[in-house]
Amino acid sequence: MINVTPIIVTACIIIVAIYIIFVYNNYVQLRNLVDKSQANIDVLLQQRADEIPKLVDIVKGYTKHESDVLLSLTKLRSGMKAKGSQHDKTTKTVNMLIVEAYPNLKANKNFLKLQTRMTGLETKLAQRRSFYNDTVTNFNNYVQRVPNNLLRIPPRELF
Amino acid sequence: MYALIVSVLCIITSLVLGYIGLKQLRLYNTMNNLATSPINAITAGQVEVVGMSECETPLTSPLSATPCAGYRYSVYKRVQTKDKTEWKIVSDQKKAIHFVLRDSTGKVTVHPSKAKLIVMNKTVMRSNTLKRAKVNRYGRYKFIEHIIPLDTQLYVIGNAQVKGDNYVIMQGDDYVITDKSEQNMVQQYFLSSLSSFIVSILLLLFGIIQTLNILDWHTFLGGL
Repeated sequence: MINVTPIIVTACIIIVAIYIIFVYNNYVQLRNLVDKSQANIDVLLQQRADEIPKLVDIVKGYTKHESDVLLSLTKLRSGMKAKGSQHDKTTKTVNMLIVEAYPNLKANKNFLKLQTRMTGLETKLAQRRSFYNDTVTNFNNYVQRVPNNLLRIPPRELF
Repeated sequence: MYALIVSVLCIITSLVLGYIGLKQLRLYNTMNNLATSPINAITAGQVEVVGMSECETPLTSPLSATPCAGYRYSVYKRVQTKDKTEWKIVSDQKKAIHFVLRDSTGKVTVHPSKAKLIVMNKTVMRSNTLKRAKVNRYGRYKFIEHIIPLDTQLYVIGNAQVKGDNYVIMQGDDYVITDKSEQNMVQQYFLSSLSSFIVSILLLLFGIIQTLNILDWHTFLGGL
C-alpha cells in the first residue's frame, strides 16, 4: 500500500490555490460591474449637463420669438385703431383677423417636451443609481463575507 | 492492464467533470454577481432582467397547443438493444421568435434563437396516454415539449445590444432564459457545480493513487 499523505497534501494545496484564484476572479468581475454601473451614471449626468441647457436655450429663443410676434401684432392693432378712414379700418380689421389667426403658439408644447425630456432623464438616472446600489451591495456582501474578508478589500460606498 | 485503463478513465472523467463544474460555477457566479436591472436602466453589455413575456404573433406549440415564443419538440421511441431497452430520439424540432419582456419601467426585446441555455416549461406525454396522436403499434413513443411561455415572469441573462433606439438582448457567453426564479437557478447551479467538483476530485484522487500503485509509485516519484 502506498503512502497517500503527500498526494492528499498536494491535492489540498491545489484546491486552496484554485479557491484563491476563484475568489480573486470573482472580485475582479464584481469590481468591474461596480465601475461599469458608476460609469453608466456618469454617462447620463454628462448627457443631462450637455443636453438640458441646449434645450432650455432653444425653448427660450422660441418663447422670445413668439413674444415678439405678439407684441408686434398688438402694436399694429392699436396703431390701426388710432388712424385711418372707415373703409381703411374695415380692410385693416379683416387683415388683422387674418394676421391674428396666423400665429400658432408652440412655446407651450416646447415647454411640455422639455419637461418630459427632463423627467425622463431624471427617472433613468434614479433607476441607474438604484442599479448601482444593488451592484455595490453584491460587491460589499462578497468582500465582507468570511473567508473573503481576509483579503482586506475595502467595501464601496452606496449612492 | 485492465486496472490501468480503469484508473486512466477515472482521471479523464474527473477532468471532464471538472470542466463541466467550472462552466456551471461560471454561470453561478454570473447569476450571483449581476444585479437585476430595471429594464429602462439597461445598458449595453451583460444584463440580468426579470419581466413578463409578451408576443404579438405567438407560435403554437405542437404538443400542448399553447401559445408561446419558442418551443423544442422531441419524439422518442422505446427501442430494444442487445441487453436493454432505451429511448431513442426520432425527431427534434426547435423554433423560436423574438418576444418582449416588460417590467414596471419599460420593455426590451429578447431574441431567444441564440440562447445557450433555455430552461422552459416541460410537457411529457407517452403514446399510451396520448389519445389523438398517431401511435405506432410496433413501438412506444414519448413526446416531450419545452416552451418559452407567454404572460409568464421570465428571468433572462444575456448581452444587451443597441438596435435602433432600443436595446435588444441577443446573445452572450452566458445566455439564459428561464421561468424559474433567480434564487432557484443560483441554488441549482451551486449544487450541481459543487457535486461535479466533489466527484471530480474523488475520481482524480482515486485515478492517481491507482495509477501510481500500478506503476510502482516509489520509482515514479523518485522515492518520495
